Amino acid sequence: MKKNKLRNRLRRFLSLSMAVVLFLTVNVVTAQNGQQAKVTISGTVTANGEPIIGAVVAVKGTTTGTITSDKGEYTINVTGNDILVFSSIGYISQEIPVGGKTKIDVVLEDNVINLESVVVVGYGTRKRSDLTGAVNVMGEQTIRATPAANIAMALQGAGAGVNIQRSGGSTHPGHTPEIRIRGTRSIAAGNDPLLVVDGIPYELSMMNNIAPEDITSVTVLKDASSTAIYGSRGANGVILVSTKRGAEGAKAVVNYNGYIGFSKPLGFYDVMKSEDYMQLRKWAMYNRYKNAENYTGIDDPRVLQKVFEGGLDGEIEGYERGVDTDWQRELYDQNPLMTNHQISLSGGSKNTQYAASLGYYKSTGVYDLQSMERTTLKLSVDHTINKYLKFGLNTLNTYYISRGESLNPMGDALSLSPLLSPYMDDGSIREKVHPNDLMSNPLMDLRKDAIQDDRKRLSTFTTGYLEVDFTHGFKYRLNAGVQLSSTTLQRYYQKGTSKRRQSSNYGYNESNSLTDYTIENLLTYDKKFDKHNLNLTAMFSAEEREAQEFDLNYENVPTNQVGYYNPGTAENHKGNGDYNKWSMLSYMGRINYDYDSRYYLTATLRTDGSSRLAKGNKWHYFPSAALAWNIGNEKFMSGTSHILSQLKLRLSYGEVGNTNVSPYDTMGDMTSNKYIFGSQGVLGYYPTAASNSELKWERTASYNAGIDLGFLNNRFSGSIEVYKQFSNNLMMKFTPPATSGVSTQIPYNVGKTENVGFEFAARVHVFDGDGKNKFQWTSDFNIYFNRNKVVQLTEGVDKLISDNLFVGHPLGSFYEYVGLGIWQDTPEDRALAESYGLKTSGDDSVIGTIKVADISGPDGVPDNVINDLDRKIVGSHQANFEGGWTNSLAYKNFDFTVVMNFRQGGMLRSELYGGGQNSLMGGYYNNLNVDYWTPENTGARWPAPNNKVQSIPYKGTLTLFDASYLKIRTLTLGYSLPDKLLKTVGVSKARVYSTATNPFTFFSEYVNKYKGLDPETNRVMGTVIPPSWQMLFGINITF
Amino acid sequence: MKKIIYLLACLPLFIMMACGDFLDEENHSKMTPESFSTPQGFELGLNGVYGGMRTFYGPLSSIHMITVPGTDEFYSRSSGDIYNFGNYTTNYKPNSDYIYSYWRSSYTLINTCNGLVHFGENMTDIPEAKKITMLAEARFFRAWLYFRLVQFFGDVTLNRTYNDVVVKTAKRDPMADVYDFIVEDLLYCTTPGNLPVGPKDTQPGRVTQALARHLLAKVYLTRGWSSAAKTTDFQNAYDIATRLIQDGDQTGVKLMSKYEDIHKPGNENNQEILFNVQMTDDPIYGVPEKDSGMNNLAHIFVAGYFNFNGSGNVQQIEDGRVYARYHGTTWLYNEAFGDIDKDSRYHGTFQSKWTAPIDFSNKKQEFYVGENKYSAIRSGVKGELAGYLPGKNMTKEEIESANYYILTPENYTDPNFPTMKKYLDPNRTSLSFDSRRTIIVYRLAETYLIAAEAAFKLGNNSTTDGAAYYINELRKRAASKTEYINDLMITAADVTIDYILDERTRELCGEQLRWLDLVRTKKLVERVRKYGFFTTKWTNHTLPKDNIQDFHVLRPIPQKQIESVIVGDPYPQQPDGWDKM
Repeated sequence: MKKNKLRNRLRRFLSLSMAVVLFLTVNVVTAQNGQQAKVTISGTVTANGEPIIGAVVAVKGTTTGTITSDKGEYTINVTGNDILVFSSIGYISQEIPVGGKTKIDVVLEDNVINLESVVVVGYGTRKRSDLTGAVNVMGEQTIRATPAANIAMALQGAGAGVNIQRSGGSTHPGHTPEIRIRGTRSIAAGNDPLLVVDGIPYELSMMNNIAPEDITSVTVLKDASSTAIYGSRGANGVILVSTKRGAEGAKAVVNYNGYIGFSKPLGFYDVMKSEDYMQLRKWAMYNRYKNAENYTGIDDPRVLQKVFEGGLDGEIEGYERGVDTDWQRELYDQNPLMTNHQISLSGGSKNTQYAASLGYYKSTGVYDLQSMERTTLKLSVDHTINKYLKFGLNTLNTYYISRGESLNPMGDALSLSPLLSPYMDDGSIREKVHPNDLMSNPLMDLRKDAIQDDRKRLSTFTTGYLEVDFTHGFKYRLNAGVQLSSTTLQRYYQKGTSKRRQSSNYGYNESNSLTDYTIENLLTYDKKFDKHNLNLTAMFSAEEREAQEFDLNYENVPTNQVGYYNPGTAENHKGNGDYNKWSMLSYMGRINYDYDSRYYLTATLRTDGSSRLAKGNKWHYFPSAALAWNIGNEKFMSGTSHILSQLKLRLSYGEVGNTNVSPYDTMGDMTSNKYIFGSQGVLGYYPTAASNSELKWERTASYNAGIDLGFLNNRFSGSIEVYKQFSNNLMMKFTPPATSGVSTQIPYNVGKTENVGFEFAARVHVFDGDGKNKFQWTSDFNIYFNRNKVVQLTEGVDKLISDNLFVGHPLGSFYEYVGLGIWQDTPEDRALAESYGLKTSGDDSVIGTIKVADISGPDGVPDNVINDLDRKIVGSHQANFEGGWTNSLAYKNFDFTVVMNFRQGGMLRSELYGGGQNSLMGGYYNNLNVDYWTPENTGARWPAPNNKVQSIPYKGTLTLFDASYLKIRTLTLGYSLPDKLLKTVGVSKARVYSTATNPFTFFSEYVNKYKGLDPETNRVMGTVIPPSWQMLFGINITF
Repeated sequence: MKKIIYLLACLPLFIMMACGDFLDEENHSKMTPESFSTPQGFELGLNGVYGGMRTFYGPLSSIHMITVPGTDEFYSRSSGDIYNFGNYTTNYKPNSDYIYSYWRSSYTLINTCNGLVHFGENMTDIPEAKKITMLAEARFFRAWLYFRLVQFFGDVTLNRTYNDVVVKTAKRDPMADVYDFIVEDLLYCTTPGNLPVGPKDTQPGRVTQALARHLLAKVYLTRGWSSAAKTTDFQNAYDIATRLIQDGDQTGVKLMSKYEDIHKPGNENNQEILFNVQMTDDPIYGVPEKDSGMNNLAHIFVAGYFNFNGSGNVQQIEDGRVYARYHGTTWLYNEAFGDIDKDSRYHGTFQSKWTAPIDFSNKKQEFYVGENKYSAIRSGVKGELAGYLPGKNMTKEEIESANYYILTPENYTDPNFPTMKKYLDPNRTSLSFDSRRTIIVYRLAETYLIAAEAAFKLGNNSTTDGAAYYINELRKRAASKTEYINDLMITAADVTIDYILDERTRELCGEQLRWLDLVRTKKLVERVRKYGFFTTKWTNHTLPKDNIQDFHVLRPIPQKQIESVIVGDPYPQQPDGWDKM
């Protein structure tokens, strides 16, 4: 069943893709015959419309060769059978048989691998071969491989040590996933990395503001020596994003990139159909009342009577008519659309470069009321005034709309009785679906304007720099950036909807503004003398962030048409506001030194001062150092360079911080309440939190060792990293003695965690062709693991059960009873149950309920009592290993890319099985179609239904699942139209492609065995709107 | 903008000094306690304390959990803290969440009062008399909060001053010191002129001198029984209580003429009330968004009446939402109220009639009369009488002849038992809504009982100005008909401490005082062992009676308090029992 579905999906994808591509295919084949005579060949070598100076033109298999002039021209004597090899650093080499030609002009293409060889690092760039720290670099090709709403989704699985997962399995089209670099380390201060866009810190939660198409490269700084220059904000890793700029001396290029596509739900959750539901209800009533009522069996007519007692309107009728409503299908659009268009212009002269783009993205969810829409406008200019001065400006402007963030109809959709028809006989929506209105008909929400939930954000992010070249190696750079955003969140819920049920029409308006500016002053000194290379950087920066919030909610909105637009028409207004500001001053110094590109040293020292900490504690230092030895550049290695083409050892140590102290956390706080004297309402305040002047930042010290390897002229290249991190001073919640009067939990620094990890990443040019006439196959693979554990909690405490923290175990562990199946009606089970003091007869009998192990007691040994002490750590979400694998194939203008990611091990907690839709109460709530225990079905996983049991005891034991999976994230088939054809229409490049995103998941126990739809979550799988896969058709044209 | 330019100018120079204030915090969102030194700020802080009282009275987890069950009147059903307190189970431990929450809220508000007294002394721009009144209100609450703490816990930490920093130490102070501090505050409150004389002189819900006098009398009475007793305590209690009763015209606080009217919905600010916690259906000030301020009392006493209203499962707003947290003891239902025809307080306390929410027919009711089980067929029409609780046993014929359900004491089950109706709120808009009724905390009838108890302790049981007199005043009012008054009168010889406690049950059943009354009079363990059970042929519940131990007369020091004292001497647990759990 499942396999057929997969196969069909694959077939549909392939046939659609092929059709599109074939339709546009034109094959151009030219054949030449070789000749023997000695001839003189001349020509020019260019790239990107510019001549290449110093390109090597060699006769293949000989030592004969020449280099191009400053105009890119060359002349060489050859025979007719020779093959010429054109190469230049940074470009893909080309081999051209001489044939009968006398003039050969060559256009070299950029070598992507080499382009990436200049890496953006904190406060500057470095050659990849000069790196001393652990970084992941992802170029344009990687980013483009996965069309996605935001950069994080595009990078899933693309780098070792970077774990990107949808939080709670969220399926909202505007969802921003959770990013974890080298695991988690903080208990209370957050584990989000720092995002830096074009050199300026950017609010991570607003990553949806940036169109992935505007991004040219992403560098992830992982080890402390790389992140230490971000000091107090580096502990969770740093993501550096660079956006498009114009290229020097390139003519104007217009590029259009667009796709349209549709989504399909990956499936629906398996709930009971009417017949099974009735059977469940009978069992549930039977088991509850069998002793009191002496039922003869579940088919005793009194059981059915009991089932319908207290009557829910329409249910008996539905039962008699054979109604079997599938609520999920009533609710979801099966083919929501998504679309993305981006047009960009870039170019530049020697002195002025520019890039501009306009983009539009829209994606609608499977649930109609959810969507995300984004319009972006980007503009950048760089200008060299003279040999001393250069400046640049870059602005990213976004209008972003996210709808339906607060909505999730799953609760009702999964729980509503299938016996109820969604509509009344007169065609109106059935309003009453629960006798006490504890559920509502989700179709009520879909009526026009009944629910409005719109987040709209207007934002701009503008950065600029001024560079002064003092010559003699001294440069000064002023970097400044400002992020401004204004967000409104407006909601309106009509009476009768799931949000209000029987309460009146409700409106909510919230407005947020954020201003964040950063000013950096950088002074650099570059000096080469002899074989010594020295680069010094000094930096001073200031940042201030100010956020203000205001909200208002109100009731009795007169009509849907007024909605949230005019609170003046409504009643019972309540408002709140918040103001929040912090500022930071930083100094940083860095030395980069290398001797003969063999021995490297990097050392940095940063100090940050923050307004968020109390006086006397504001400033902290963050040092780091790294050493590297490029063995590959040693003389003794020169003989083997074609085999072992690269070998570098790296070692680093650094200390970084986590600034996530909320502003005013060091101050005391008051709590407000309300009171009334007769009819006079009043507002009250009382102090509840103490001021804590000792609060400090969390601190992480980390060691990293890495090896970079390259074999066979870098046909195979890769790196291995091992690291260990010690995080100290972690913020924990401390509750002062209640008798102090100010005993609200406050953060204080005491916890410790450790992370140990291993990362391996490799790129293999399996077939090193050009993708045109010679087959090209590039394979990128990464695999990594991170082992986290809590080392210390509050003094003398080795576990904090309510906070789910356990010394010696990873953060986010699962603490549970140990399930042993179901108590069976056997003499052995009866005897065992009775030895625990459990009842095996009567209403409280445990037969048919979940059986758990007696693993411990007050003295640490089993005590024949099942209680809280019988819980233990049964696992965590932490994977044994995870990684990604991307394969790109190209031949004859076709290209094919598969992006996969995988994780093995770890557990997830499913709220689907844990929630109300799986109560087995058989009341007014439908149930997941689970296999439950009956005296005949004793092998069932789930216990016997019982109407009396509000919450299944030990249910948690059955809601944990293996979180392993292998996901095909994207499958892309593209075709680049031949240059000859394009030239005739004045187009320089054109490619059509189709992409399937999220089409298949393999090896997931949760999906394959337990009917989950998608195993991807950051720990707990929420009862989310069904996830979807997408089919996109796109075109990319460059003029 | 100016700042940016300033920064730009100063940054390249790498001079930090010039930008020294750049790292100062700017706070606009938070209130700070310093504002208590202004009249407006003081007002807000004082309101905060009044508002804090809502968290003690009303929510599902609130003071009723430690005053109502686990007594001779009630035990508890359900599960969790409420069950453990009410039945003294082995899970009733110092780590109880509610005990901690009660302890913590008390100290938070005491600290607020300390802050008010501390900063409020410096208030300017306010008439001196008003300032004194405000300070007196703060001191009243401080005294009251401490008074409750010493009753529940014995020796407790005594903070006389305001604190706003992280403290990691704490110690317990002798109960006698805490009492002295309480009395000092209340003497300030009862000083004529410092507070409005009675409720008529101020807004509903405000602290008055009459209230302070009532509390001071109660404090003296309680201390008089305790190990911190002073010889003058009972006399002081007697004097203050009797004078408060005599000053009725002046204070405006007098007994209501009918018992049943005291708790009538909508009548929460009646003339007998000394203090109540104000609730209302005002959407802004009356229905706090957080659970902590709601009135759940309406639900917690409601028995499973749907089993005897013909529906089997349908509840009606006026009959309450079935939470059935508290179940009365056999003694409460069958003995405490004496002749329930003559003493109106039984039917003033328990609901006796239910109407049918739906039409029903041919329902079988099984019942016992004596040792024999019978059954009868019940039918009814929506809106008509469907269930009746007579409060006493009836004959087989009487029960059979009715067409509605009849629930006699021998047929009480769990959860079919009498509903204590004082908190029912028929004006809720939906069954599941919490109540918006104001909660009565102290009323003058208790002043009579304080006077009676003090008189008893002074050896004066007389019917003229002694214990019997003050008890008879209440019984006079309680008589269901004037002709029964004489039958209800008692003599000086009838007065014992047990009789006073019985009378307190009749008068104040379920009014969130009982556990403290039993502890004060040192009768808790004895009376729970005697009366703390419920049995019929249908149900058997003897946990409180079987479980209670001598050390249960104090509530345990919350485990979290002990654990959070991480510097200095450990915080001591109650000796002789709680320390061994």
